[in-house]
Amino acid sequence: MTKTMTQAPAALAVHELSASYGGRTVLDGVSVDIPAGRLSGIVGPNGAGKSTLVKAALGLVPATRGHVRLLGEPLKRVRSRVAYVPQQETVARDFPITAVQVVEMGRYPHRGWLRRLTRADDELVAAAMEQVGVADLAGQPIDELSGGQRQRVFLARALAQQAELVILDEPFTAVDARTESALLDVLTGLCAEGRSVVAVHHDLRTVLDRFDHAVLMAGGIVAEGDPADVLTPANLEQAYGIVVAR
Amino acid sequence: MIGWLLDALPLSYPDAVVVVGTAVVGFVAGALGPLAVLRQRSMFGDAMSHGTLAGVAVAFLVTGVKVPEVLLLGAAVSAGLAAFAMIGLERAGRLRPDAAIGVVLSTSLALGIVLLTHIGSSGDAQQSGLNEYLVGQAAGIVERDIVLALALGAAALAVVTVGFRLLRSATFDPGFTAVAGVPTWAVDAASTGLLALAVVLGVRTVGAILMVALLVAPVVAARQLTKRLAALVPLSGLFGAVCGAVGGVVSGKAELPAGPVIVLLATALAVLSVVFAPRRGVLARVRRRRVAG
Amino acid sequence: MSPDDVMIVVIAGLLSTSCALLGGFLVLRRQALLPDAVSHAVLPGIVLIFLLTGERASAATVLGATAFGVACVAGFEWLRRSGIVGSDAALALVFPALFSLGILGITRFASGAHIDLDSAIYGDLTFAPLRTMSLAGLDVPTSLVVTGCATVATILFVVLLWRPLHASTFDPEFAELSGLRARAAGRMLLVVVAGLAVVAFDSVGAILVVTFFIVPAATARLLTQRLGTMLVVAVAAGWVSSLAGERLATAIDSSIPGTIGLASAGLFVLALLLGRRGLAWRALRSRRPES
Repeated sequence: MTKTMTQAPAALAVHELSASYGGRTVLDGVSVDIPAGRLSGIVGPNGAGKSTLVKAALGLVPATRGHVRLLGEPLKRVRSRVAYVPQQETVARDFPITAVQVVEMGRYPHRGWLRRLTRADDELVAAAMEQVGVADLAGQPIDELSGGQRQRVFLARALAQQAELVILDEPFTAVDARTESALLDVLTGLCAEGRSVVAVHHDLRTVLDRFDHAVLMAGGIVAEGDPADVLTPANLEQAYGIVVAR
Repeated sequence: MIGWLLDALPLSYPDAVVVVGTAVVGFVAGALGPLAVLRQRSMFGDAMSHGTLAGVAVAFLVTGVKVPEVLLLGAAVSAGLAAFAMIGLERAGRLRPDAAIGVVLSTSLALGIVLLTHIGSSGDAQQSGLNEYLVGQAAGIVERDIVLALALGAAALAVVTVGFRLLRSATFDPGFTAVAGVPTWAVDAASTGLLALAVVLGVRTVGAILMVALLVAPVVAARQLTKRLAALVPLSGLFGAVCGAVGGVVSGKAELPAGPVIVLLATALAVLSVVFAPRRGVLARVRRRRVAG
Repeated sequence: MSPDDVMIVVIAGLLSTSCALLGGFLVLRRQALLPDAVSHAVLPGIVLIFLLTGERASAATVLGATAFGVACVAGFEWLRRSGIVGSDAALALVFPALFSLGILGITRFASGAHIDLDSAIYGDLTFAPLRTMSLAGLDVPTSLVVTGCATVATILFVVLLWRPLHASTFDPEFAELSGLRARAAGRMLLVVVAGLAVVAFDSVGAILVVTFFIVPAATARLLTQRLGTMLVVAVAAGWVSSLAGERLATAIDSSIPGTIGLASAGLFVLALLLGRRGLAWRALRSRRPES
């Protein structure tokens, strides 16, 4: 299993992708292959197009050009195998819903509009909540959770989906350091199981210390590869436009 | 005071009064409209104009006479109360703006209807005159109304001019203004009061239901043509005035109610501007995308 | 209560049931004002169908009016998505224009048509029990049949589309990605709202359409923390206001839609004061010294 992973198709393969957001072209012909089975971070300054890249790859922002493969397939065929943890701002915070109901949504891609959730689904939901340490919050309304607790719940939803590829958009904003570390442990564990994780992130230090793979963006791709090779002073200066001491 | 203007127009005296009246109302609504539109509170105007009904009815019940100024005062008070209810619900009741507007709108409309029914059932023949606040009646404008509208409109514009920089920063960035030492409630109160004034002046002409269009459509039209707030206010006022005047003439000639005609003109102007505006218009954007692609 | 009174309460209650179910979603989706806009925008549709067929309360009327309601929603969505105009201004631009067309249509071509503006706005719930149709040999009020069908249809709609509706309201990006066809479900919701607004408009007038869609749902939101319970409470609030409003109207001899509107506003204020985190509790707590 470990050997075959290296020949597995890229977790996220983007070719000549262009996308505009609010009338402004944010991505212009970007190409990148993010390998499977790794914990990969997409980093770069604000407005570098990090979020737009993953949103366009997931069809949440219409792409004007280019094509995308997730796990070697077009999006349509892998929906249930790809989980997405959106930025907190896009979620309706005051929606009347409990933590466990959010995690149950992770089973919807497998059950569609009408099929009932089975006992196996319930067990997956419970296990996912246990894994990220929110089992005791199951009945809590989502608007009474802290930022860290809420983010754990959303990760539990991705786990409950049993996706092979988990994509997260700025998962650690508004999250305390302890939660961040715990969530990173869970993500690392997913990669050890052969799953792929791609996170848009802005904290270079974390990416350097905890991630297996880094993509540095500033409009286009500045560099990608091993975090230590990507986050070099020269590359960072090119991306951020300032001299960064390491 | 404005007799010379009415005489100078190539229209019969009653027509001239209607045209000048609708133009003045259109100008005031257009010039004050940015206070609602730029703060994403366009539909505030809708709830406030529905709120006038209850105020008019209460003013009539209390005084028992149909003096325009008294009814106007009642309308202004209740429109202001409706606005503060909405702001209060958003702040204290943790309601989203749209839900707060909806709750206040339906409550004040229900209250207005109950009161008007009560007045109607007490057999007062004059109640038909109150009904015009719901659907508007431009033909009822008299010279005294114009003078009143001019005076109040001038006062409102003076406030806008004096407090321009404050309103601009509060509209653009409420948080910053609050930090800078101006309490948000004060700005809210001022802009709400001004909006209530515009609503009250317009509501008898175009009616409570359509009033919101008179606040919003000229602003949308002007917004496409200028980026600067200092130009937006007079331009939007001008658009409102033109739609009011032309609508007044057309409705008089075609024997149609003035409110809907004015609203359709203003909407047409807004749509034209949205499609054809040189820089921000839809066509210009499509063309730019073609060139870029 | 006379049988007619009961009938009025039942018709209003049925209507409030379907409005509250959809209104719950609209309130959470920040689209609470759409029913207000739609109920005004359908007027030109009603007038147009009258001009074409000479009927003012037929299936064709409902279809024609719904078409205009959908046009209003579509125009609003297009303006909003284009990013040129804010969503609030888009709404304020679209529905007055359509309502104006309707008024001009009435005054120009259909003044003798008994589409009188008053009944459109105030509704004629009072006479609803008197207008009957024959169903299986029984004389049944037309409004009862229509609102009954509408209620059944709405409940079916909400049950069948529960997952895409609540998932897309809570987390639109997740719902879109998970293959639930959330955008399609959102559009269907708006079409159903337009259709229901037309039915409601015909039975109870524009005032109650707005009230029934928004106020019970907003009340329930203040009291509950789960979507399921919120919708149940909203429906209950609708029935309570229908009953209380009808009683009040009889007592003070007033407009039934008006008093029902006031009754539901009263429930809302109660919820605001006494609900969880209600204003009354907060006031009490702030008096007591912090322990």
